[in-house]
Amino acid sequence: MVRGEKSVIAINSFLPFKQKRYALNHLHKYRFIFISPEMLALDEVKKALLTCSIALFVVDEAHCISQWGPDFRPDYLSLGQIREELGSPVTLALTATATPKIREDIRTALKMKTPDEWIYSVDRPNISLKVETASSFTEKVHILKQYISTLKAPGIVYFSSKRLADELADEINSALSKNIASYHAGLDQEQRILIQQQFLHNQLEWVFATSAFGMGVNKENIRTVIHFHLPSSMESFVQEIGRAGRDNKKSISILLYSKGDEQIPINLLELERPSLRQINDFKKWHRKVDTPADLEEKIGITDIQNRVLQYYISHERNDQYWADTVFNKMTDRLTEKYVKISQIVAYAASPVCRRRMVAESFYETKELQQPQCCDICGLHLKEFEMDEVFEDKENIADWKERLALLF
Amino acid sequence: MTYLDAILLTCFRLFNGDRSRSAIYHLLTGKKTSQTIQDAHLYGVSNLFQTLPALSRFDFDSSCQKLMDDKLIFIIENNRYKVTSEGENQLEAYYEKHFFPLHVQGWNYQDRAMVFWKRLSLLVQTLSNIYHNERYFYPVQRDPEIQYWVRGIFLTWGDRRNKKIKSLHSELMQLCQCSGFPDRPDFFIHRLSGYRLIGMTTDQLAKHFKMDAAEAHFRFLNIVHFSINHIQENPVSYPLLNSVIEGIAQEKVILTSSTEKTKEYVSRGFSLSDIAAARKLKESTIEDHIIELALMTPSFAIDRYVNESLQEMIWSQALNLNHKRLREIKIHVPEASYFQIRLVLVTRGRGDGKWKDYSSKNLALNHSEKAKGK
Repeated sequence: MVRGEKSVIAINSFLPFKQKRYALNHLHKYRFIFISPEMLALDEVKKALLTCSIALFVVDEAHCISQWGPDFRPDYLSLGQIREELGSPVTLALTATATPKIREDIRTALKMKTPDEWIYSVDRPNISLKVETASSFTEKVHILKQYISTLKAPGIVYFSSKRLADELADEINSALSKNIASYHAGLDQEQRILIQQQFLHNQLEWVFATSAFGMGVNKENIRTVIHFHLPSSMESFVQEIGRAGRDNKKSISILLYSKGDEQIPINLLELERPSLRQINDFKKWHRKVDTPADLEEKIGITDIQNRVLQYYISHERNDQYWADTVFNKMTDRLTEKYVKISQIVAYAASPVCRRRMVAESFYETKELQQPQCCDICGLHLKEFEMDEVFEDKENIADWKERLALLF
Repeated sequence: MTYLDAILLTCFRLFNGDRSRSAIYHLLTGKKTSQTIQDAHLYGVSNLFQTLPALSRFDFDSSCQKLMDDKLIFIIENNRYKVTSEGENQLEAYYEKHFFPLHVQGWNYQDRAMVFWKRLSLLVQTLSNIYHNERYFYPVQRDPEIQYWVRGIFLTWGDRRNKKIKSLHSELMQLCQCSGFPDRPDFFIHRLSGYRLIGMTTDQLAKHFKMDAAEAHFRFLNIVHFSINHIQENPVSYPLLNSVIEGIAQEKVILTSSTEKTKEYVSRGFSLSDIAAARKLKESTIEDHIIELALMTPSFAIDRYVNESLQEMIWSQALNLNHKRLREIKIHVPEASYFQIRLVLVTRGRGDGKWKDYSSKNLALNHSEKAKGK
């Protein structure tokens, strides 16, 4: 977005009608077309695409294809068919979450026979790994404060609760006079963009965020990533700590753990699967309401559940066993996710090298010994602490000065 | 009491137990259904329409719960609430001490205000970066329609861009220093972004000025709504800012398709009962359509449904009672139907905000606040 290429069009639901019509009629003029799988499913869009010859078909975040990936999006599954309709162009699938299982799903769904696979290690040598166990919530907060006041910024602290991110950002902000903002899906778009940008421009030292933060944030000098809660899987953990140290300088990941923390992601999982009754209600009502939101309200399901059920209603045989079949499939998925949570718990409780734990959960086996590896192998925090304590930031200017700075 | 609590309490007080609490939520988030729009006008709260578009149902419900727990409102029947006398007292006291957004006109301005702000903030960011020879930056507004607009105006400027930078700066200075500017400009200016300087969020501004986020938000809205009005009244003094507003229509509300059909019959001169018969619908349904039409079309003449003298009687009773309860008006004007009363209230009440009853008390306060800010 920031550099260079101008002959690009993004076709998404935000595009105003006129521009969309224009774009679809002139698709062949663009060198790059960015489009979501949901948009590709629309007939008019597909027709327009068929009029131009596609030389390269790229699927980004390809793990979304896999039901076992963290962000299953049903429309990704139709990409294989669309690819064939486009004459099977050269295809590139990209993901940072490539377990053997997910790779297999990607090959199958995209109908790729013998693709070249370029698999890079998940290991990031410049990121040191540490887990710190706390005996209580209060102690955890205390440890966090300690780290915020000593460790190098810029940094991200991940939470699984919006409210906690807000509250602790507030509390620590006033206690330590740091520049901390919270970021989560509860903020409106403008505020979210401002916080991202402030962080990129080093106007913020820390962002306290939910997993909503980070996609598309390409900041080179993030020094510290702290997890206040357990992430839901090794895959998301690796994604999130991978935002640190893109400049290849030394950075650190710290996971704060208290016994029983796994209960939070487990509870979230339970909420994720609709009940058999809701699935039956879905079957009964899904054609009788005007909008997806109405359906969600009527039978009490989330937008994600709705999306998944919509997929099953069009892709599973709609007979008398439909609800049971879907329920069983979703139960399998749930079980798979329990396994993922237990992997991250094992990481937190590991008696062996944490770097090895990460690699093994992605089925990598090479030896990974290095200095400043992890808290098990030996780690000196001094290297990650601030060299000097910065003075309290100056008060923000008055409006006239601010305006003069802009122009 | 938080600022949000005070806003909600004001709504509860004006709805006075006639509407469910969801109606308040829809009003503040700006749900464009004829029911919500009717409510906004009937109860004199149209100025608050759509002023909290991002308010979550969760925050709304917790705030209501707190008002209940503090005994500032009480439930009268399922989901309808009235304000307790303690609530009334606290509300009065609250606005004596706090900022009052006198210039906010949600129904009239909010759609335009949002587009105006998005255009302006992207324009300032773009000009600021260009002035500093930075050609690449992440736009603070992602809405493609806004981006197209900014791109378009840039094309028409060509190489006069540098002059435009100076003009925009001086017009903004002039605006913030004009007599009548309602608040400290910081709530507006500090949100703007530019070259290597990203604007502050509502939360950050609130923290900086030690107030809650809703107050900082309403102060911002108040400035934006004031500015739109002020710029449009003085287009010659603000040629550039005026061109940012120009061409933004207050978004049209789309009539429901059933009302569209009724509209056709109306324009062909059908009477109410003829339309009902022709469309095989109840007369009361057609009445609702006509109310919707009257609300959405400012030029809609209601004389054929209520003769002028009856209109006067209804309106003078409404003013007399200082209280727009249909039932009470009906008692005083028995010859009018409820339909006729509603029709008069929604058309005459357009743009008039009971909300502003608070304003006379707050005028003095607003001026003293402003003096502090300078």
